[in-house]
Amino acid sequence: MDSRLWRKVSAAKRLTVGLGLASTLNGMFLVGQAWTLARLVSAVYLHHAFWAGVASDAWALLALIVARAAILGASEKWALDHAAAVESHLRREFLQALTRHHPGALNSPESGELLHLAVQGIEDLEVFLARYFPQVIVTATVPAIVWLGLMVRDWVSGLLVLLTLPLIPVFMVLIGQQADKASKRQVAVLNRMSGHFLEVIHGLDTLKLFGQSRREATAVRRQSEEFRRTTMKTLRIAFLSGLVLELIASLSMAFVAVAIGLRLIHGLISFQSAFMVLVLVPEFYLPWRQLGAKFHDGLKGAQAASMLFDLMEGQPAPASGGQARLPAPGPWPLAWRDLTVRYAGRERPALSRVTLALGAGQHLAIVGPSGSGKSTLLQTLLGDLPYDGDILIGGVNLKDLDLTWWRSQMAWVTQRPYFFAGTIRENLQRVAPDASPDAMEWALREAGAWELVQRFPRGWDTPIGQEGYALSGGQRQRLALARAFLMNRPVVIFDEPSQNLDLATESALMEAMARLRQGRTTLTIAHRLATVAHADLVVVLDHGEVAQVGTPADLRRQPGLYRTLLDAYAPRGDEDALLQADPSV
Amino acid sequence: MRFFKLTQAYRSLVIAALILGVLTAAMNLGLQSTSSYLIAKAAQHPSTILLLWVPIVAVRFFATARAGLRYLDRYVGHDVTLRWIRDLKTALYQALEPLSTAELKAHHSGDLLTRLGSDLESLQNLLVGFAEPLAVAMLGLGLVFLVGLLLNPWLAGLLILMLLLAGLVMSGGNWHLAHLASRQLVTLRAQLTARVVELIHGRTEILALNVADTVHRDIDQVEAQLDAAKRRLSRVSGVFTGVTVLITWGGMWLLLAVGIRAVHTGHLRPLLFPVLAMIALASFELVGGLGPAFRDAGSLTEAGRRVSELLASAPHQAPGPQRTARATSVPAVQFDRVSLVMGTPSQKILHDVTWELPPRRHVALVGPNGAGKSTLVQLTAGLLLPTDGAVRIDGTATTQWDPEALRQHIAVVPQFPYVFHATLRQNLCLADPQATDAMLTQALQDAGLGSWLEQLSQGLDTPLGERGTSLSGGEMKRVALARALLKDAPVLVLDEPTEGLDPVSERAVLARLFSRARSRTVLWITHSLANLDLVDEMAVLDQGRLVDQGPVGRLRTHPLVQQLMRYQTLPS
Repeated sequence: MDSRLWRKVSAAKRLTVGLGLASTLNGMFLVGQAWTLARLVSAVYLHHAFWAGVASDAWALLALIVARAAILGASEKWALDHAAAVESHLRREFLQALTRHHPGALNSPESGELLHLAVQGIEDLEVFLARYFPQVIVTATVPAIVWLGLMVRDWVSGLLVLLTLPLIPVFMVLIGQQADKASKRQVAVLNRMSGHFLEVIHGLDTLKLFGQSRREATAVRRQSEEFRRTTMKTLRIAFLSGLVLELIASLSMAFVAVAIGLRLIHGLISFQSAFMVLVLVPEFYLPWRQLGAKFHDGLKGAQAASMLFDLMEGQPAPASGGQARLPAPGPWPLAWRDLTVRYAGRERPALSRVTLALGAGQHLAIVGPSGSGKSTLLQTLLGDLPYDGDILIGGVNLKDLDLTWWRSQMAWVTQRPYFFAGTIRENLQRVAPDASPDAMEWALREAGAWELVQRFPRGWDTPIGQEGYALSGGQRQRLALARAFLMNRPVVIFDEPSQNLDLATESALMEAMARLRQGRTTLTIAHRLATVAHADLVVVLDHGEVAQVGTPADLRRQPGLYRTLLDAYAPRGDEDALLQADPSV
Repeated sequence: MRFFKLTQAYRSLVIAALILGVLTAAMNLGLQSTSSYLIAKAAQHPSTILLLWVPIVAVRFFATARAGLRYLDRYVGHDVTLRWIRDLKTALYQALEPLSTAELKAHHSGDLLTRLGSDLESLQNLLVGFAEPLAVAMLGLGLVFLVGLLLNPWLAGLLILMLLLAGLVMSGGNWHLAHLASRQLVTLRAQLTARVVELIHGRTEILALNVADTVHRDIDQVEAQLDAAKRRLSRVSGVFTGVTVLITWGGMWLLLAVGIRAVHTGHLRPLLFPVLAMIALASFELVGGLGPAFRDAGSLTEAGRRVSELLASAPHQAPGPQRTARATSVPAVQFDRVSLVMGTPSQKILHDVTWELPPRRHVALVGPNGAGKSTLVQLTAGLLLPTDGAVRIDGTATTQWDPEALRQHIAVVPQFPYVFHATLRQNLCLADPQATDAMLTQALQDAGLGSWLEQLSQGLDTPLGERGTSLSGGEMKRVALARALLKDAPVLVLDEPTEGLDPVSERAVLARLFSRARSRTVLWITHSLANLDLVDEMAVLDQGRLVDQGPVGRLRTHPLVQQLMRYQTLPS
């Protein structure tokens, strides 16, 4: 287990101390309980004592039982609460670490993996802390206390039990190694086998198209049978190790019982001690058996903690930026000079020696195959990606700009816009807290989203975001545009949807975009010919380098990537006709 | 429920597993009681050790038997479960096979299929995790009662009463806890997950909008609600733990108190008093399994309900007499006033489409998103059946065809092709199990995957990963194209087969495809309006209606086509 968890999270410390204390007390009370019980049984059995003779023992026993019930109940609550506290603490830290930087600046895995860690991983850790870890503490304390109790009353039995002790870790390790091996190698094989069924169910249409679906029924049976065989082979080893653990506990119990029986005959031990030993011996083995049964809960949670800490610690300090602000209101000209961006862990630069200048209020269209560096070029403007070269905004170097101020001069509309959980109106207010209802209505109308919103079940009071009304790709885009109108920033950055939308949405989007461009410096990742045609400047990126740059008309005349693209896309002559037919030109 | 019927073949094994479970518990009871009897007897200082011989052997027997039986119990229990799951999967497959994915999605509440995996996993716990603890508790109670009768009937009755109480508190308490958790935690957890998903996907935008603090405040709010709910639950859970301990040990205490009186009045031999104490302690282990069993009972029932629903699914259109005879020449494909209504709420996806695809003609079908182009593909292949009208292949309606015979005529590249978690070769050989390496390579080259194949270190034997994760969307489409080309079918139906391909290679692939398919019918669905010069004619579909059809040159000027052209995406 990762020691950073205890060093850095105070709830984990409290969890450990509390559980340790409770479990020590519980162990002591357990011994006390066995002792009073033995006294009581011995008095009734050997001395035929009636209630009056054993009343004090009986009440003491009941008191111990109540105390144990209280301790066990309280430690359960303590474990659950603190595991939950660790969980929320870690999730907060982790999510904050994720948003402190631009994703590209982080040496981080893919989104899918991050998600798995932030949701499943942290939850596994909670299960580990709430279920497995308390059992570890119990195993570390209770057997030791029980053993001390045994030694005090009857050292012979104590020694007998101690003799079996080294066997337990050996078999625990054996079980553990099996589980480990299983989790690494076999589980992959097993998952694949059991996954076969889901595969054929999801791929049923494909099987049918190739006339294989009826035949596949036999394969389903064969694979499930294979799965059963392999699983049983793995389980047999696990069960066998369990059998040995169980045998050790059982036989040691039998051995101790027979040994004290024989010594009782010769009067070498009192009945009271003998009975107490008999009650205590199973308690000595119980924690280990329970720990073995919970082994799997522990495995995944322990891994999650290490991965979380590794990710949180392997981060650069956030870019601080300078103090400068541009005096005049925008739009400003933008320029990239000899810009090179490298992502951590990648050999080839994402952008290589890019030089580009865009006049104030001009519109730039960025074109290129996927992976050519289009989004990286936009994201350098956030000031968080490490780069070589210079980015000039209104003639001032980005590194000298006050980053918070600069970021508040840009509006972004990405391919998959982020919305807060809440209503449409709340989402608009988040970016412009002072906006009046009239202004919000205006923004929605400008974005071509007003009619759309009217059709929602509760108009602009309809909740959106993942838990709310399910928005289509086109609807998300239009709402994001409305937000951009409302923000009214001098620089607008737009990542056009690369998927085909239905015609009505397409035309609404194109018209709204044209309105938003008025009087602003804009940068667009273009996926539509019409968008490119309306740009003042087109840059064609290829493998992180500028392949071509110029006005759309220039590029059409030059041979090169842009022309090739265009030729394949629309036969000669069509394109001009098309542009003339476009009302928004 | 229908899936219980599947267990009947294993009735004897199931009963064996249950009995083994009960016997294991019985052995534990035997070990505890005989060992206490042993020392009680020994405390009387018998003249010879031979008097202790029987209890000594009994103690050893119970100790060994307990461990051995538990091993057998676990083994048989898991084995019979896996056999049952095997039969269940086979039965499920046979029930689902006649249905199309679209039908399945239309007939069941959306996520039935996506939850199938986890549902089957829950059901694996039915015997070992639920039935067995229940059997152990119930049969165990009878056993305890019998053993108790040896001591004293009143004490036996009291012990049973205490055990019942403990069992009820444990099962009821855990059921209640699970219910509370599913009511209070599940929604909040889903909310939190949803927000985390949004945050991780929207990281760039959150940074750009400068709203990280607000986003975190929102998440903290949900987390705080979740924490409060967890705290409430942990309080209940803690109380239950305490109460369970109290009932278990308190029960024993009560039994002893009554036992003291019984000894005094001569109703219980003093020798048996220590035995009573040990039996009381050991017998509570019998009901200990009820807690976890009832914690999972709710999710088990839900999983069972959903799987039963799937098992009971049947195709909505009963098949009449079916044609199995193959067409002798390239068959014509005819749509005769075809309408299709689907989904909840039901939507009319196709309106009265009448259209013919003559043999050996190459036709492009264009239309905006959501026009119903892909539905048309599924109707042609008989994966969907029309609500009204008929789709005829070689003059026979798809409803009258034997599905496998029908599909021998048609090779399809679907909108979302499925690539199996297997090697490239295995995926391709689905179309033709006898295909040689040369044929496979040729098909890949024809699909524009020639240079891609050369880069694969393991060539045709490269594993394609789960759901083809090692492939890009476009590559997946082209693997499906190669697969369709390998199938020797007279009609090719291609739903955007060159998606994601650069324009130059796209044209090369299409040109080769159409020139080789001179003797086949080709229906080509496309978004892009490039390369239309390669086909004989085109058809335009809009909002489920066939708008126009004819030579490419004429249709280019159609206003809808003009509009499509304006908004089409650049090839990347």
